[in-house]
Amino acid sequence: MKRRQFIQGVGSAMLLFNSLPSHALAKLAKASDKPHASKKLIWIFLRGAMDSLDAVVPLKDKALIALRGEYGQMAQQQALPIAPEFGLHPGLKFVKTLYDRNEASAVIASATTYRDRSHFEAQDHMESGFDLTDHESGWLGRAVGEYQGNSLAISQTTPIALKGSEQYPQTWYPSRLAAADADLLQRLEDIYQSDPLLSATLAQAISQSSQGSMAKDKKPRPDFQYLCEQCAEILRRDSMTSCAMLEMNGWDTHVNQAYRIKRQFERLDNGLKALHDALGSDWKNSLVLISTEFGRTAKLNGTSGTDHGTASCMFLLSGSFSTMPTSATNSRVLQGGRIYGRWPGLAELYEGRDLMPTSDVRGWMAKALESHWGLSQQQIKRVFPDVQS
Amino acid sequence: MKTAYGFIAANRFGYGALPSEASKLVQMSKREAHAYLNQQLTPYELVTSKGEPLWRSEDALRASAKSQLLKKRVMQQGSANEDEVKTARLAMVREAAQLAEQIAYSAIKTKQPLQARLLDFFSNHFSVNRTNFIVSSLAPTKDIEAVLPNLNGHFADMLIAVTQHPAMLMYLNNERSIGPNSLLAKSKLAKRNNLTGLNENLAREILELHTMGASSGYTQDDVVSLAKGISGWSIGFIQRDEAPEFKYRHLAHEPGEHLLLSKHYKTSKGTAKQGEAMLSDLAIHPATATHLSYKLARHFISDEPTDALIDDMKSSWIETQAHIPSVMQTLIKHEDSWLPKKQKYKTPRDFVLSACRSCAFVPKRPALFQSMEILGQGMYKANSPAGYGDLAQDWLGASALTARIDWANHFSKAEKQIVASHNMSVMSLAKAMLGPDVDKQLMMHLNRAESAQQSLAMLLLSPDFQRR
Repeated sequence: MKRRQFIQGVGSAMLLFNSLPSHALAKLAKASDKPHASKKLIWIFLRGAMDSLDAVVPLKDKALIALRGEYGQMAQQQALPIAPEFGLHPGLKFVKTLYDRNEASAVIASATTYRDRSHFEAQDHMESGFDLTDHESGWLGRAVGEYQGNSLAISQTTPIALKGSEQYPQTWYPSRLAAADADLLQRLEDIYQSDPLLSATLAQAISQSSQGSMAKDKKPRPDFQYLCEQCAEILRRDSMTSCAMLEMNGWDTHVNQAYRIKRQFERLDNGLKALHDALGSDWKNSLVLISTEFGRTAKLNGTSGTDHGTASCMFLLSGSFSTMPTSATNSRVLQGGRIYGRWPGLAELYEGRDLMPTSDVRGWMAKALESHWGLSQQQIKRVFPDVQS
Repeated sequence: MKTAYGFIAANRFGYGALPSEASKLVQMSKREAHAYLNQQLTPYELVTSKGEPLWRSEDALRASAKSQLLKKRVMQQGSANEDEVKTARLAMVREAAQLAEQIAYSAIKTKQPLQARLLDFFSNHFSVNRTNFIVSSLAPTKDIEAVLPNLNGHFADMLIAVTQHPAMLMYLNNERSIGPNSLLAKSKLAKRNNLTGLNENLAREILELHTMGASSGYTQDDVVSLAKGISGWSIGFIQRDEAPEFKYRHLAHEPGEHLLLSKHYKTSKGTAKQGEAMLSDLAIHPATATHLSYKLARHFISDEPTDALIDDMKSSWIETQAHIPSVMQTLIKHEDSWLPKKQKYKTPRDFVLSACRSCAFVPKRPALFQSMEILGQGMYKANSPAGYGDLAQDWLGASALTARIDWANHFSKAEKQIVASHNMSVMSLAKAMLGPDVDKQLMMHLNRAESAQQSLAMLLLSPDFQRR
């Protein structure tokens, strides 16, 4: 029912305000909703299982060297120290900068409740956020529904994570074919005059493509940095869009991990910097949450890589962290410059092979929703009914 | 204005008219349009562009066993031959993509577009997604081996064939599901191979997606019973000299009678009959009749089909024990099927295939399966066992429309070839696609285009072509 009303809303709005840009229209269609202009939540999902022992290196844990030999020794030596016990991979330079400015924190040894080691199931599980995966309902979709905002996926189709909100998510991904010229678009505007829905959608498409750096033929092969930039641009332009999901692949480092993971961290770090820069003044109102489906084995395998494991780590980045008084002791408010979670040590491993999980990833997501968006405990219970608060 | 029944039939129940069909369609009465559709309901003959035999699930399983062996060797010898494994796997995925391409190609060329549409519908209904290289290389074989041969029969047979197909067994992890009281569960073998017990994934999706539908009255106990009924439904291991196909493993099957939806199912020694009996009953359950009738009506007719239509189809489903062609005949007969108003926004797949069919032109680059990917509906990439959405809201977004515009613009670059091969101008193509009563305003706009290429792009992007 609601959907039909929304479409009718857009239709009649088109008749009245044919010349208004799309975001104004979106606002109009949702005029009755509470506006959430300021707070943005961006979730970056690292697909393929990131090795946390290389991301947030335990500097003092001797077991790392026992498990990984020279590889572990190098990791400890080269890490950028952020706390007495921990250091970041040297590829994460920008994250280090943020950490030093109290605008970044890490969560160590976290996992969801999923314990098998299939990428695909674990990813769906994390996106869904339920103990029992529901492919039609995702945690961020439910959360943005509670927040009454709109969502954006930087992908071609709607990911599971953003399903389950009444408001249908926007998706954006650069077109892989050369862009049609403006003349064709103008002519289509004429043809679509009799079709309110197509007409409204085209208006939105034209406004997307005409925004300077949004011109989609700028880069033929979109890399992560470009997607981050574009994501920030859309968020900045559209005040009604309060959350976005970005994805980055390539973390399944079964072979030659040293080389591959360095490249991955550098790509991630560059993307985060691009996101930060493009958000500009909105960085102060944004929270970036980074997680992966599970961790990797503590030991190296026979091909200088690691296999599917259990606990990994998360990152929380926000410009709002540094504006908070450091004396704030309220544990419900997330802060920067912190290592969250409990280090289980590498002496005792989960099933004798993986980093032991000591907290639920979804518990931290819930905290982020509370801290950043101010969702109530009741609302959070609806987003994560299976998580103990 | 006379209703253009022939064009309604071709657009609503197929992928549009081939330019050569147009003159036949113009003449069609309602009765003839019914007959035109009904006569397509015969075994679907796949029209392929290549002579070589099609990729089968057996090929995929053999190649997968080979690559596993290769991988083992690489693991033992170090990383030197890592690329070999990668190459072998990529080759498998490529073969599957070729098969997907052939399925799409057939939809453009076939004389039975209604069957091609049904194949697409049930392919998506029994969605298998490219999650890893084995499932990727198996996914399209499920449609050729389990869906296609049963399009013209009873739904129960399709349901059983799909459930027993290696692609589905592997996608929803049933191949390793063993009864907790089975002989295998009690053996050391289970521990050694990390076989932990019942996996409910497939059973749950059968009830929720494939048959009765969510919240239609079954319980968690029913899910478990069905999972027990199909425990031991597995795939033969080539390494153990078993045939690479569905294999019923009695040792892994949960023994005893199982109770599903208040009915007892007896054990069936040494055969898969217990689970098959459960599926046969589920296929004709009233909830399944409602669920499938609704989905079919929504797919062919409207995002919001009328209750009258769904009720008619449901009755037919129950009366004929889910005989698919009979249910389709009921749909074809219904007056909702012949309303002139186009109520469906084409999915990217429909859009690409109907553009190609209407121009009788298959672009080389991008290939069909790539085109669908570019437009956001890659084949076997729905990301969910529920398959792709079937509503306008699933596909009508700004970014999606931009991609569609860019694609149509690119496709239209072949305008000279298209026009030359049919000896038809874009204006006459418009009439062949949309019927003799094309909107006059649209014709005026097409006529004023700065080039024939632009005119063709505008035609494909017109509301009249984007809806069916």
